[in-house]
Amino acid sequence: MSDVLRFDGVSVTFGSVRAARDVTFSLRRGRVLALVGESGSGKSVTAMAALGLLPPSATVSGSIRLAAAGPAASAAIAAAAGASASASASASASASADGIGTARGEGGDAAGSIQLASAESVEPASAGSLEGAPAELIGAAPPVLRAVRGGRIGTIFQEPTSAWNPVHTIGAQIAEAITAHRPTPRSALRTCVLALLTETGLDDPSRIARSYPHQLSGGQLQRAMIAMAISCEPDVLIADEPTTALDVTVQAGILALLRRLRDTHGTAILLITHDMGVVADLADDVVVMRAGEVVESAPVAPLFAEPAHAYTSSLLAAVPSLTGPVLTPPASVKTVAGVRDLSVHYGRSVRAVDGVTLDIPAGTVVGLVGESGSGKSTIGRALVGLAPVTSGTVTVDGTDLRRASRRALRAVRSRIGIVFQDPAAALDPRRTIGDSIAEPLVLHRAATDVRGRVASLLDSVRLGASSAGRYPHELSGGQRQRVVIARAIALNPALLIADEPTSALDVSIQAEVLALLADLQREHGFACLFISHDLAVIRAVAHRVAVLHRGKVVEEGATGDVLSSPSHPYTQRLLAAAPVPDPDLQRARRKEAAASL
Amino acid sequence: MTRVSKRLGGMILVLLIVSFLTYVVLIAAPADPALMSCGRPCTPDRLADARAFMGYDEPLIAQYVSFLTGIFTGRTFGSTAAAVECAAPCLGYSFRLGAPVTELIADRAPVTFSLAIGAAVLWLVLGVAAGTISAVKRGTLLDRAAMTLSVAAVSAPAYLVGLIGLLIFGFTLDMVPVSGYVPLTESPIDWAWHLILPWLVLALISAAVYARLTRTQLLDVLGEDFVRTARAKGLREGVVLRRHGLRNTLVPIVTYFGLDLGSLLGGAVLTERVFSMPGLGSLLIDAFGNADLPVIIGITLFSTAMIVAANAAVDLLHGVLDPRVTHVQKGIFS
Amino acid sequence: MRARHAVAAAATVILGLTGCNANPTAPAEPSGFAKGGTLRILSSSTEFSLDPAKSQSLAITSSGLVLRRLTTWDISPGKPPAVVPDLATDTGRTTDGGKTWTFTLKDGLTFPDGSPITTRDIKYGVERSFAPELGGGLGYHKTLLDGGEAYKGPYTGASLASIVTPDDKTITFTLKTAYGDWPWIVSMPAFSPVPKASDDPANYGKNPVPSGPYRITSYTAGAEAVLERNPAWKQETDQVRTAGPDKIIFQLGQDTTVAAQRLVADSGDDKGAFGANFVPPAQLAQAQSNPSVKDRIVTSSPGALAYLVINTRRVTDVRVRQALAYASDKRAYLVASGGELGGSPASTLITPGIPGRVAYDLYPTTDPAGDVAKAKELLTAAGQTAPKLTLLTRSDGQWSSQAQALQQGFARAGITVEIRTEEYESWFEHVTSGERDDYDLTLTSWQPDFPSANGNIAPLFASTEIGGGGFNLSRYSAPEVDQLIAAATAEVDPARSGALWAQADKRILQDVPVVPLIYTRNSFLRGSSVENFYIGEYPTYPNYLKASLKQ
Repeated sequence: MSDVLRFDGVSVTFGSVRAARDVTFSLRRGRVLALVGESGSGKSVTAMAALGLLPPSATVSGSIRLAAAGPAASAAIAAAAGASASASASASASASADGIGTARGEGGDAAGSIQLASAESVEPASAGSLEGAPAELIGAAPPVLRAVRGGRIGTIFQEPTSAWNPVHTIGAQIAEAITAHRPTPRSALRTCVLALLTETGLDDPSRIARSYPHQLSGGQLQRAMIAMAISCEPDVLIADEPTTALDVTVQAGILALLRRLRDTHGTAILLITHDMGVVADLADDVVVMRAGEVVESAPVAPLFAEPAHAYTSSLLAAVPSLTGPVLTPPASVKTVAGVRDLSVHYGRSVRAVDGVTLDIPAGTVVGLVGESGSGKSTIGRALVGLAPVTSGTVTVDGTDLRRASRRALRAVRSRIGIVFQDPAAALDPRRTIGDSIAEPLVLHRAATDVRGRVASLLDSVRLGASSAGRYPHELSGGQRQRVVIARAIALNPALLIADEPTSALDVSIQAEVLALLADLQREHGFACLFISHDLAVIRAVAHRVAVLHRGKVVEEGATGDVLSSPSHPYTQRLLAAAPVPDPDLQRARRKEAAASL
Repeated sequence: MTRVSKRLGGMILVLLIVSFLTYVVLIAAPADPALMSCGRPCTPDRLADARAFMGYDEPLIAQYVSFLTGIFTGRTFGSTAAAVECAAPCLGYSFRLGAPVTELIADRAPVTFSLAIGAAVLWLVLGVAAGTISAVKRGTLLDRAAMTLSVAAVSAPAYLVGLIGLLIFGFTLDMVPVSGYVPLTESPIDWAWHLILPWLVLALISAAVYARLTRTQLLDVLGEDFVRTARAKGLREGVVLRRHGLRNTLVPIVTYFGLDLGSLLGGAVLTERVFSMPGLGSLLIDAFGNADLPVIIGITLFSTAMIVAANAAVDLLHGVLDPRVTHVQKGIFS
Repeated sequence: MRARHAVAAAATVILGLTGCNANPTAPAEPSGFAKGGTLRILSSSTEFSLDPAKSQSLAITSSGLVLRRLTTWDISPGKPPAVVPDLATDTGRTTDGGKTWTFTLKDGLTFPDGSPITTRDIKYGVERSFAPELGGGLGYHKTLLDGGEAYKGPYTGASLASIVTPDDKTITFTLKTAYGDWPWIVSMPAFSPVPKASDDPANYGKNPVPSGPYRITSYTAGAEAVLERNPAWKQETDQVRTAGPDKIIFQLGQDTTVAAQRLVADSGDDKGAFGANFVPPAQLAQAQSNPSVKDRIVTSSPGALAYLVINTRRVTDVRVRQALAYASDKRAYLVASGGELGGSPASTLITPGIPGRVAYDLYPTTDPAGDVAKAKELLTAAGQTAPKLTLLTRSDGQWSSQAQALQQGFARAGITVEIRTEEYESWFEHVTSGERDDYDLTLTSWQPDFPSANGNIAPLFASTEIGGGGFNLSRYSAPEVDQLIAAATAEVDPARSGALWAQADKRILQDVPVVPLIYTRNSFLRGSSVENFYIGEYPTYPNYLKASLKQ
C-alpha cells in the first residue's frame, strides 16, 4: 500500500469563514476513500484544493503532496505519448485499453516502485517538475498544476449534463483532455478516445464520440466523463458526488465502473458523497467531515459496524432503511383522489404518462416511485389540474377536474396542499414566512383569525409562532421546507401532494422532515401522494406504493408487499440497485445481483 | 427543405405586412406628396393633375396593389411621351429625385453597406476583445475603467461623437477627410480612408455594447460547470477561455450582431448625415423632409428585408454554433 | 419654396445672441472678378436637379449658373433688385397695357453644339412646364398665360397658342389679363431654352442643355455635382454673370453643422467654399466670437416676413384680431428667433428691399412687446374678454418656442392660446389644402419668389388662393382687396403699381388677417478665398452668379 496523495493539515478559508480546518488523510493506490459529510461540511472544498481550482478568494494552508510518477507509469505515459503507433498498431480498441490496464497494475502494486509520500521523507518539490520527489500542490506554479490536473488527477463532477461543454462533441472534449498532456496525432487520438469510451462500458463508442452532450443520457455522460478523467491514466480520481444526479439503476452501473477502475488500474479514488449507501457500496476507507473538520476516519467495515463518533452514528441512523418495519395501510375504502386511465402525451412521440390508474384512499400516504422521466411528477401536476391531460379522468374530492368549472376547480384546489422539492424556490424571498403561510388563508378567506392560525401552524411544524416575522433567507433548507409544509396544510387539505420534498435536504434534515410529515398526516388524516425516486424514503413514509416506469404503473400495493417481495422485474431491479448503508450487506447484494444476471 | 421554405414564406409574409402597414400609415398620413410637387403657386386643377399622374387618385387598396404588382412587372406613370418608366422590380418612383426607388436604393446601398459592414467588423473585434479582457481581469482597475468608458460610450449620441471626431481628427489634426464617399471600385485606399472615421465612430458606440455583453456573457459562462471541467482537465487558461468560454458566448453575440448589422444595413441615419455619406440613411431623412413617400416606403421595405434576412442568418448560424438548436428544431418541425 | 426656407432662417440663432452686433450688410463694392479656381458650394440638399420645369431655384442661385432665361435679376450690394435682360434684348415690350408681351433674343446666342438659341426653344421650355409629369416648379405663368389652365404640356402633342414665335428671334406671350410684373415672371427657370430634340423628360434635370456660363459635367447622386465652363457662353452677351471660377462643385448632403465647422476651420479646399444653408445657431455664435471668422459671416438685411396668421373664418370679429395685433409680443418673438441676427420687428406686408414699399404701422405700440391695455380695451369692446384660441404650429426649427413666446404675450391680455404642433408636411397640408379649417392661428413666414410687391401680397391675400394648395392661410376674402390686387397686378407702370400695392398693403392690415411679426435675416459663411460673396436687399440669399475666388 502506498500513499499517492496526501492531505496534511489542510485548511481552507474564505475571508473569515473557515470552510475546512486541519484536514488530514491519504489516498492509496487501488483504494477508494470516501469523504462523507452533509452540505457545507467542507468535503468538496478540500478536494478542489488539491487541484488548485478554488476561487481566488480562498486561502489554502497545509500541505497536499502528490507522489512522484513512478518509472513504470512514466514509461507508460511516454510510450503512449511518443508512440501512439502502438495504439493504432494494436488492431482492436479494447486490446489497447487492456494494455494500459496491465501496465498500470504492474507499475503500482506489483513493483511497488512508487515512492512513499510520507511527511518525513518528502522534500519540497521543485516547480515544474513532477519527477523524483513528491510534488507539493498547495501554491504550486500554474504549469505544475496544469500537468497535475487531468494528467495525474482525473476528476468527475456531480452533474454530468452541465459538466460537459454543450457546443463541442464528447469525442472532441475527450481528445482535448488527451492532447493537453500528450501531443498525439489525430488518427491515434481517435483510436484512443474510442478505446476509452469502450473501457467505460459505453456501447457504440463512435456514436457517443460524435454526439453532443444534449444527445446523451445522464448515465452515458457520466461514463464518458469517467473516460475523460482516466484518459491520461491518472494516479488519482476525484469523484465529487458522481452519482447524485443519476437514477438509482444508472448509479449502480457507475459505481461498478469506478470499482473496476480501482481494481484493474489501481487508481486511487477520492469519493465525495453524502450518500451512506454509496459509501457502503464502494468505499474502502471513510473520512467523515462535519463543519470543515474531520470527525472520524476509519476503514469502511468498522465505521459502519461500530462508529466511533456520535456524529457518524447519527448520520447512519438518519439514513432511511430498506429493512425494518413498514407502515400498514389504514382500512379505508373511501378514495379522496385518483386518476383513471390517465394519459399525458406531448406531441406524438412523448408519452409522459400512459394509461395510469391510481387511487389515493383517505388517510393514506401513497408513495409514487420511479426514475427520472417516469412521469411521476406529471401525475402530481395532473392532480392539481396543471398537466395537459390527453385522456382519462382526474378526480379530487369527488370533482372531475377535466369537466369542472373554473369556480369548482378553485374550490377543489383549496382542498389540495402542495410541497415541492426546492423550498427556496417555493417561497417569496421578500415576504415574511408568516405572510407566506397566511397567503392561502387570505386568498380563500378560510380563517377569521389569520394571525392565530399562522401561529398554530408554525407550532405544528415545530418552528414556533415567534418565527412568523422572519424571512426565508434567515432559515435553513429544512426550516424552509417546514414553512412550505405549514402553508400546504393551512387549509386542512383533503390531499397533500409532496413531490420529492426531501431530495434537496441533507440526510439528517431529511429524517426530521419525513418524521414531521408522518406526524402531521397521522394528526390531520389527510391523504397524501408522496413522489420520490428514493425507495428508502418511500418505505419510511408510505402506506402504499406505486412503481412507475416509462409512464406506466408496473406494480402497486401495500408498501410492505411491494418492497419486500416485488413481483415486477423493474421493481426488483430498482430495489437491487439501491445501495444500502451496510458494507457487508451491500457486498452480498451485489453478488446476488451479479449472479442473477 | 420544408424548414427553408417555411422560413422563406415567413419572411415574405413579414415583408408583405410591413409594406402594407407602411403604405397605409404613410398614404393615410396628412402629408400630401402631390401637394409637395404641385409647384408654386399651386391651383386645385394642377394639384389634381399631379395626384392623377403620381397615382394617388386611386383608392388606397388599388394603390397598394399597383405597388405590389409593380415589383414584379414594373410600372409606368403617365401616358404621354413624357411618361415615366419604372422597370421591375419597381419599388415606386421618386418624382422629386426623378428616379425609380429601386435604382436609388441600388445607388446608395454600397455606401451604407461599406459603412455598416466595416464598422460592424471593427466593433465586433474591439467589443469582444475589450469585454474579454474585462471579464478576465474582473474587478481590477482595468475592468472598471473599461466598463465606465463603455457606459459613457453607450450613452453617447452618434451625431455628437461624429461631430467631435470630425472636429479633432478632421479639422484640428487634419488627419482624415471630413466628408464624402469614394466607391471601393474607384480606389480601395480612398474608400477606406474616407470611411475610417465613420467606422470608428459607429464602432466605438456599438463596441461598448458588445464589450458589456461579452463581459457579462463570458462571466456567466466562466462560472459554468464545464469550465471547471475544462480546467480540471489541465487545459491552458487561454484554451479554456477560447474553446470553452468565448465559444459559448458566441450565440448571444452573434444574435446581437446579426440584428444590429441588419438594422444598420437599412441606413445609419445620423452617421451618414454627419459625414455627408450619400447612403440609404441620408436618402431616408431627406425623403422624410420632403414627403417623398415612394422613397420612404422603398427604404422601409428594404431595411425590413435586411433585418429579416439578418434574422434568418442568425437563426441559421445558431444551428451551426449551438448543436442543441438544430436538435430542438428537428423535434418541432420534422 | 421660399416660405419653407424662411422658416429655417428663424432657426439660425439662439437667445444668447441678442446682444451681438449684426454684421453690416453693405460690404464694399466688389473690387473685381478674378477668373479661375474651383468654388465649392456646401449644401444640405441631397438632390441636384436643374430641370427648368421642376425648379424653384432663385434666378441668382444654382440654376442661374447653367440656365439663362429671357430676363434675370441684377442683385448688387446696396442697390435695390432690378430685372434686367438676359437672353432677351430688353425686359419686354407691351403695347396693350400689359396683356401682350414681346421679347427679342440677343444675337450670337448658341448652345454648346453651335446651334443658335431660338425662341422656339424658349416656347418649348415654357410648354413642357405645364406637363403634370414635370410638376413642382415655379408656376406663376401657368395661370397667367391665356389658355394655361387647360394646357397639359407638349407631350400630348398640343402646343400653347398664347405663345407665338413669328421667327427665331421673337416671342410673344398673350396673357389672360394684364400683368405688370411679367418681366419678372420671365426670369423664372421655366423661361430658359430647352431644345426639343434634347428633351428626355425623366432625366433632363441631370444634364440640361446649358445656356449659361456652366454646364454639369458630372453628377453623383446625393453626393456631388460638378459644373465646368460652357464654352458656348459669351461674357459680352451677359450683364450679370461674372463666371469667375473655372469649376464649381456642389457638395451635397452636407450636415449644416459640419459644413459650418468646415467653413469656420477654413482649411485646404474649404478656403474656396461657401455654405448654401443658414449657419446653425451654435456655429453662428462661435463664428461671431472669433475675429478671424467673423469677417466671413455674411448676414442679410431684413427680408422674409414672419407673421401670425389669423383664420378670419373663425376669428370673425375684427376687434379681436386688432387686439391680437396689439397684444403680439414682437420683442419676445424676436428673442425666440435669435435676436438681432434673426431679424427686426415688422409692421408691413411688403418686405424691405421690395421696390415701392411704404413703411407704416397701423397698430403702433411704444414698446415692441405690445400694448396690452389697448388689446384689453378692444376685447372688452368686442364683448370677448377671455377668448380661447388654437395656434397650429410645426415641430421643425424654432416654431414651437416662437409660438410659446407669443402665447405668453397673449396671456397678458387675457387671451388663452392652446398650441398644437404638427410635423412640417402635415402642417403644410393642413393649412394649404383648406379641407380642415380647425385652427384659429398659425405661424409662418414668406419671402416673395420675385422682388415685386405682387409676390408679397397676391399669393397670401387673394381670395383665389384659399385652399387647394394656395397660401391664403387666413382664409381672407375681401372683394375690395381682390379688386386692388387685380388693378395692381395689371398695372404696367412700376410707380403706379407700387402705389397700388402699398395701398393694398394698408387696406389688408386694416382687417388684420395677419399680424406682421419680424422681417427675418439669414447668415451664411464663406471660405477666405471666396470674393464677391454678398447678399443684396432682396432675396436673403447670396448671389452665386458673381462669387469668385481670390487668385
